[in-house]
Amino acid sequence: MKLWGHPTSFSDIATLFARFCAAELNALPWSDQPPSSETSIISKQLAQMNELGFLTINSQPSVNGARSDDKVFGWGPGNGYVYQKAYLEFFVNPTLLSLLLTHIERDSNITYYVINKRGDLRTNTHSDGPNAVTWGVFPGKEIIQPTIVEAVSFMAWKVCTLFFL
Amino acid sequence: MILLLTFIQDEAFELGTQWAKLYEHDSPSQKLILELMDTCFLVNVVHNDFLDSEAIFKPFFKAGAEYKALKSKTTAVNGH
Repeated sequence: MKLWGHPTSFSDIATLFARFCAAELNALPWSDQPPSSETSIISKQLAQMNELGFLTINSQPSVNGARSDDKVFGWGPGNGYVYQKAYLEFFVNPTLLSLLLTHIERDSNITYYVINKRGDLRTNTHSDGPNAVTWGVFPGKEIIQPTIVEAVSFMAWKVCTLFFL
Repeated sequence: MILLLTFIQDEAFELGTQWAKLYEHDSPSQKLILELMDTCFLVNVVHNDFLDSEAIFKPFFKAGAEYKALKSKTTAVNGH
């Protein structure tokens, strides 16, 4: 609360998010640490998005074949190459969302999921399978994909949680 | 390790609600955050062309500009 003050308007909240992206604020209720070094590459764009009303809580920039020992993007075994698709996860009000969707649907390269607090889901994804958003190619190995986006897992998660409890 | 992004979605609304609870009951800040969590949508967007690093942002900037124009129009009508 010391960090975030007492917001009284939506733009107060958007300003908090934008300051977090610009590294002027060290934490948000959705993130207990500052943005990672890979996110800092898109910090300007993220700050601008938040000022416009898209409250980002998760993101990654695209990467086309960075070395697996790269200081910012690298992961996994040596002598490999890593790849990422850009993704953004954010809160948005219904009016701004409908404006956004008309633009998003003009780009056939974009896949999206929209969900509200009650769990109503809307998507333009027709396949049931997951979408790999981070993958790596390493000597003598199959493709490794540590991050995927999948809607079905939303339900599966609750089952898994019960299992681990 | 498989990190499933949609796992985060359930938690995202909960984190907002927890933030609201830090404020005094029925205070303007608490009402604002709770209302935001009740009315807003959580969206996950992936741009599948990983060779074009700026493409994902374009629809946001276009929609954002339209929204700004829409808001200033409404404000003008209301006379504020």
